[in-house]
Amino acid sequence: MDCKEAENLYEFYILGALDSDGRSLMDSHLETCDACNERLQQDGETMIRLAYAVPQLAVPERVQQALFSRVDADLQPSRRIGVGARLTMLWKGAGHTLATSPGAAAASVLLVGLVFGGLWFDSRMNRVSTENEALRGRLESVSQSLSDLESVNQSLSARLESVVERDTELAQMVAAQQDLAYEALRFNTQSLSLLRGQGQAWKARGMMMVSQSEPRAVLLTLNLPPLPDDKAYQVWLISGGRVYDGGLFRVDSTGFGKAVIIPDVPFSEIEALGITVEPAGGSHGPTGANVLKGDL
Amino acid sequence: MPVVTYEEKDDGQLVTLIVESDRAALEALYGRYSAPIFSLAMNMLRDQGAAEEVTQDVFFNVWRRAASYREQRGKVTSWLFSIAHHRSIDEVRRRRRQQTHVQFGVDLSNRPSTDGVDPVEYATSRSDRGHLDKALSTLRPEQRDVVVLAYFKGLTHTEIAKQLDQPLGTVKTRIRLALRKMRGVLGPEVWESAEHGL
Repeated sequence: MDCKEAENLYEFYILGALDSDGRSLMDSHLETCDACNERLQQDGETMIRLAYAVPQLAVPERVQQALFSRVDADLQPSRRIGVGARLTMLWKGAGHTLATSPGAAAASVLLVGLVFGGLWFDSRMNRVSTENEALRGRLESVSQSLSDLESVNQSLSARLESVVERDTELAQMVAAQQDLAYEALRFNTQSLSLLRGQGQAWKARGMMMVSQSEPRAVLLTLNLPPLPDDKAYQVWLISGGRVYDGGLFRVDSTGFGKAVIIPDVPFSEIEALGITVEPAGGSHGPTGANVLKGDL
Repeated sequence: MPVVTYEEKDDGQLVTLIVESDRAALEALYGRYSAPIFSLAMNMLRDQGAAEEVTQDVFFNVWRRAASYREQRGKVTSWLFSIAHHRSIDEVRRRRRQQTHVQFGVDLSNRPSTDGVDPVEYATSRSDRGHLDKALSTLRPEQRDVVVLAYFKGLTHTEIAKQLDQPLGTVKTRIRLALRKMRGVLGPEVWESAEHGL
């Protein structure tokens, strides 16, 4: 890839919009091109700030534990001494002695004999040492495999724990849905309005059932996030451009909520319903985030 | 001679130590940047388990490939967040290929089937008006869409062009203009704890 091709793909690269092949080509080009790198540095700063601009969350402890289990498994020291290097040193030492007068030659022959004898003995020792090192290597390899398995086991345990938690949450949600269905069947309903989650509470759902025989309705909600003690959900009824207070309610730990609504105006005149987050004592008008709404 | 703790070392020094297999240096780097990296992964993947895995993989990648960091290519944070963003994008794309759909609760309304809430809607409808809202809301809608589709949703440039029914050149221009605008909007106050690279 040359600079012209890189220039063509630069904007896509900076936002991560290249496929893996394109990204690899750009990475290779940036390894060697200072001009393209300089431009990248400035926009790289902007991308970091964009990453920091998302809602910041705390990292569960288990992530660090799992990470450093892998790191520790990766930290396995090993040292080997070359037998060839040892033989080379011995041979160099013997060769130096032979470069002298005849008198010294005899002594040199004896010395060579001793050296070769020593070499033979050393070779035997090296063979034993080599076999010993091979066994040690195998032992280290087995230990490392065990560490790897332990690391994988820990990672799997953490994931299993997460799955069990989600499974429990699902079971609670199913139970809440069954309660909702039962309430709907029990109530003598004239009309039924469905409510849809908004914003952060996009998973929430609601149902308002107006009674056939009395001027009241029952509101049921699912998947609304539980609120702290100083907050409550408040119902608002919209009629003729005006907003009427429909009352406060709270949800249980599964997000299931129930409220009875007795409005100041007839249900036939109510056009829409909304639910917002308000202070625990309620508000005179909607001030907080809208979490559920629907038309009647 | 005063002892310099790991917390006092800058990011470049920590990476140099990590090249030498200094575990404590990796711990220090993890302590600084695991939260924003995890937060970015969560924002993109909407799945805590997957975000945890991505976070772990990013730092293990740093452990294994610390020697590949080049100062001339930018700060350690640029390198690190690039690894994190690419890893998150790869996971987003892998899941999209598998077309995994998880839907909780009774679907009481005619909600269209998607693999999660629309990022543009999520980014602009949250009750807490954070820096992300501020940055994205200053963009023109067509610029905001390409940034969200590329950076957060992990679409490739051809997929973006196809989804928006626009030529690649138009998509590229919108990204360029969005980057220019975001440079001014996303000021240093957004980035409070990442000064160690200097």
